[in-house]
Amino acid sequence: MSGLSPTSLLSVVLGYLAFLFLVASVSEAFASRLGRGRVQTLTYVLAASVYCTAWTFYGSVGLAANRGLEFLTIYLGPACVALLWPVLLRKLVRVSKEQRITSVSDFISSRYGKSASLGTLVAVLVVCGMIPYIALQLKAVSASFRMILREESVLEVFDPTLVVAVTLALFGILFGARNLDFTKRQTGLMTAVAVESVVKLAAFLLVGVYVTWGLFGGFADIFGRAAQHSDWMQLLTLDRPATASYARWAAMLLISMLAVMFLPRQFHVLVVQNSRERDVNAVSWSFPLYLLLINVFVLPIAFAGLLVFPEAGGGADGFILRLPLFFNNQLISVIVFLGGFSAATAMIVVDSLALSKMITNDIILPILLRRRRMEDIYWITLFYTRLAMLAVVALGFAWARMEHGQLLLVEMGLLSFIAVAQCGPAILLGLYWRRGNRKGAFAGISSGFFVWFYTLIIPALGKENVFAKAFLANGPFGFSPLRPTAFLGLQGLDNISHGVFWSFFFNVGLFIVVSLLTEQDVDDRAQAAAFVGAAGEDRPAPGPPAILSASEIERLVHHYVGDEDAEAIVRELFGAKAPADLSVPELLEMRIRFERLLAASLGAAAARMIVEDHFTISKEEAEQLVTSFQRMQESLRVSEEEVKRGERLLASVVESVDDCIFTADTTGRLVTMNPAGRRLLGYATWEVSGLRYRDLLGASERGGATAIVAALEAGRGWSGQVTGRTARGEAFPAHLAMTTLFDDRGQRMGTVGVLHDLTEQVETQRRLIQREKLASLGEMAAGVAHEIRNPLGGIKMATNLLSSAEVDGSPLSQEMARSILSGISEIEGIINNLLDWTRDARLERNEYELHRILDPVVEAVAAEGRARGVHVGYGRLARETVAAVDGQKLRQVFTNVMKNAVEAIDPRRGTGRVTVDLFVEGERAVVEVSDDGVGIATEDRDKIFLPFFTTKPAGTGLGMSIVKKIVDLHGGDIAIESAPGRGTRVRISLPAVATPLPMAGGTS
Amino acid sequence: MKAAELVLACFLLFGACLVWPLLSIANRPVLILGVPALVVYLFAVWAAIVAVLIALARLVRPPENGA
Repeated sequence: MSGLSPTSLLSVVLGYLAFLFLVASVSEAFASRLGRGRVQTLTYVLAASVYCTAWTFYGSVGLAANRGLEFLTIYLGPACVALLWPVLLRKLVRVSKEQRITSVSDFISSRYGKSASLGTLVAVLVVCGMIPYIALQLKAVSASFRMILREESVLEVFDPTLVVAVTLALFGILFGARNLDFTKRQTGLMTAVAVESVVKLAAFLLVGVYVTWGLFGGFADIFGRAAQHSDWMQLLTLDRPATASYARWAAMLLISMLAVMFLPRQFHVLVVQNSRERDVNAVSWSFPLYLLLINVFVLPIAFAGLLVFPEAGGGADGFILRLPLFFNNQLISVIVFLGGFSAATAMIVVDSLALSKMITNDIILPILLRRRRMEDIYWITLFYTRLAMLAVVALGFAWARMEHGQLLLVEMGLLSFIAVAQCGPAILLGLYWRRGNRKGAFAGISSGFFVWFYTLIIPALGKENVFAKAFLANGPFGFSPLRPTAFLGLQGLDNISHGVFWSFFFNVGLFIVVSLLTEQDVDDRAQAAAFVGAAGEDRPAPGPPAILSASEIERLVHHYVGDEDAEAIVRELFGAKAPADLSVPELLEMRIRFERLLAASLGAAAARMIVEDHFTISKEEAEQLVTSFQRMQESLRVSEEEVKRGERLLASVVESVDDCIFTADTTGRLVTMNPAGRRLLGYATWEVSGLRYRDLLGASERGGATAIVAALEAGRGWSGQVTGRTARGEAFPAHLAMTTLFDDRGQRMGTVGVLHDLTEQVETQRRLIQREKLASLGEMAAGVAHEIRNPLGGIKMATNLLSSAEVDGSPLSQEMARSILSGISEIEGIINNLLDWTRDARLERNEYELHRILDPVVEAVAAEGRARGVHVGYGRLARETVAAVDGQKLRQVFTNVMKNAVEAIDPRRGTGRVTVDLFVEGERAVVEVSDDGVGIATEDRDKIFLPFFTTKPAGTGLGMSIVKKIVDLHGGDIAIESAPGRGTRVRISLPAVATPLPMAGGTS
Repeated sequence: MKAAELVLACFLLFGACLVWPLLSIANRPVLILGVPALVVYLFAVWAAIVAVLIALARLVRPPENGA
């Protein structure tokens, strides 16, 4: 009996593990040399074959012996899909490199808007799905142990499987999880896996050759002998219920196609650990070739086993080892054992590594980061990664222990395949369909997994449970259309194809429908563009800008990346520049690169959370910053505008003011003078700068200018009355105010002066004085007139008596008395005039036809005029002219004016004409009195209305002044046109009344 | 024809060879050179896939950007 003793087994196993460690360490040491050229490609290509696990070794043969050619689908699928790899895998690799993707869950989470929750979902589901697969490996290893040991008793004592499992996990930690950046080339690990692939293939080929030509006479021999068993021939065709077999065949092809890319270890080896894009081409053909080679001998071995162990049944899994053992070929047995062991080892190491990454980045980290910001996140993450590796392996072991042959190995494997395959649509569609969004992915993946669980897991688990059996038979709550094994009444399919169909139906269907019905948010869209358009044309949209100082970034790098790499990374981030030399755009760019860097170690979702946390300008804060910055800008602009406006205002004030404003320098020379000043003084613009301010002063002031100068020198101002001097030398009264200007250091800069023209003021003052004089004179005159009246009255009376006949009077004394009386009348007239003039005039207005007032006056004056030979008469006469006037006073006016007119005519001429016109002009009633007398001299014409002015030898000179007064009181105007020798025309206009009204009151 | 189209065409072609309608053609209980027909068919297709991929690898040569 061949086989190994426990000690031999132990030494073989340990020896092999030691060999692996050696290979890994050596290759790490020589990493640089191994990283080049063909060796690298070879490593990559061989590592891809980690796809073939203990399942390949033991399970294929078992499956072939039980179900015929079905096993081929697991390898044909990948071979076929490899046809797409030159394009598909390359894009997958390129995008993952750009986005620093570390795992399947990271890919999905990153693609759909860096969604942490989606990543968590995928991670949880993949981990759940993979536990059976890991258990499968451990079971296979354990079975192989059992087979190869000569005595099985020792296995009762302790189970080496666990030890092996833990050892393998440690191997993985040592070579795969030494640091967090999984995108870095893990040379040791990859090399070890590649070596294991070689061992696998060699072992299989060896045993195949041994069986086919060693034990039998070749292919024909084996198949020929098998053909004699009709039921075995069935295995060589797809003959059992035809539809079911074809359906199952297709279903298994499909899931294998997806599994070969998206199983955690596959993704890690094919995508994450790809260091050169063009290696994709090599793996595209070499991987199918490997698969072909490793499968060549499966059928021969299976049938050989069937032939040798016809009663085998379920033990067909072990044929590959049992045959050499049975035939006492120690060497082959050990080699096969090692082959199988190697296959399981590779799978466990890489899968636990990949799974731990997913667990840490997408399950644990998001939880931790949400709770609080962690400064030692790097070490914590690394710790959890390693812990997760151990946990995953332990879980697999636990499952293996719990599951007691209810499921065939192969069934377990297929369940895992289908679970992992649920990620396929999200990834593939995510790579080529921009519209695919996060909600769609959520819907698709969760529904896919749910259906997977419902149609495949529940039936598998419920085989023993009565309650579950009822559930399976009748559906939930007896609702049979929802039976897990014949969902919606779809019958006639085996469980695999049934499960595959429905899970993908819902997965893909919901993904597409939900994606089309919902909107993408910014992150989603940006990532979609980055992933789908990642043929190099599209650049991913930059994240919201935030700036961190260079030193901050450096500090963060040291925190989140292990120290050994921090320096290199900082250098890479900053380029060649010193941190202080980085410009703002470069610092902005820094954020993106930093995030990518973190993503390589912690996954895209966690990296995003950290970066958003540290680059602490949250959206709100950013908005606030922007707003306050804008406000600052506004107010600065406003202040500037205000200043400008103030300046402009000042300038326009100076320009437009009426006074002369000038500035002079410290020597007294004028610097500027405003337009008003230039106008006032009569200087042209260019003349100004030649002046000194003394030149602006009249001659008499020049001496007094010393006072001004003294004041200015002392820094005081000076103001006072001066005589200004125009350019032409004219003097004028002016007010000058001058002040000294100081700069902000207190030094004299110059002077500014305002010269205010006082001429008008002086003139006004003079007139005012004169008027006051006149007023007091008038008062005095009124007083005198009153006083005179009394004695005058007495005189009059006495004189009347004298002139009466009673007194003895000679004609002479009577004549004398008459003369005295007439003189007294004259005096009375003068007094009355005077009193009239001083009296406050009050008008008694009535409406008159003016001609009625004029007629008697004209008559009376005409009589007088006849004596001189002057004809007085009407010219125009508009009888209907009506005005509201004081008749008595107006009569006085007209009398005065007409008498003047008559008296203006030189009596020596003997002729003359005075014409009176009365007419309406617009709203005025106009009376014009024209004469052809001597006229009035120009200088006298303005003085006519002044009181006490007369050109006549006699008279008070009050007449016209009274006339003007009365006319003014009526609201009318009086004007005189006259020229010496040409006569005079006096024009009086009064407000007219439109329609003549009946006389209100009679004429007086 | 672009690389993507070529690749997709090959995939669909061979995919069709591997599923029911075409597959059933070879699904006969006969031996070819001592090997069952379906087995021969499948492995032949498989080998063809590898050959095509080798050819594709030469056709779809990415830009050489150094090691």
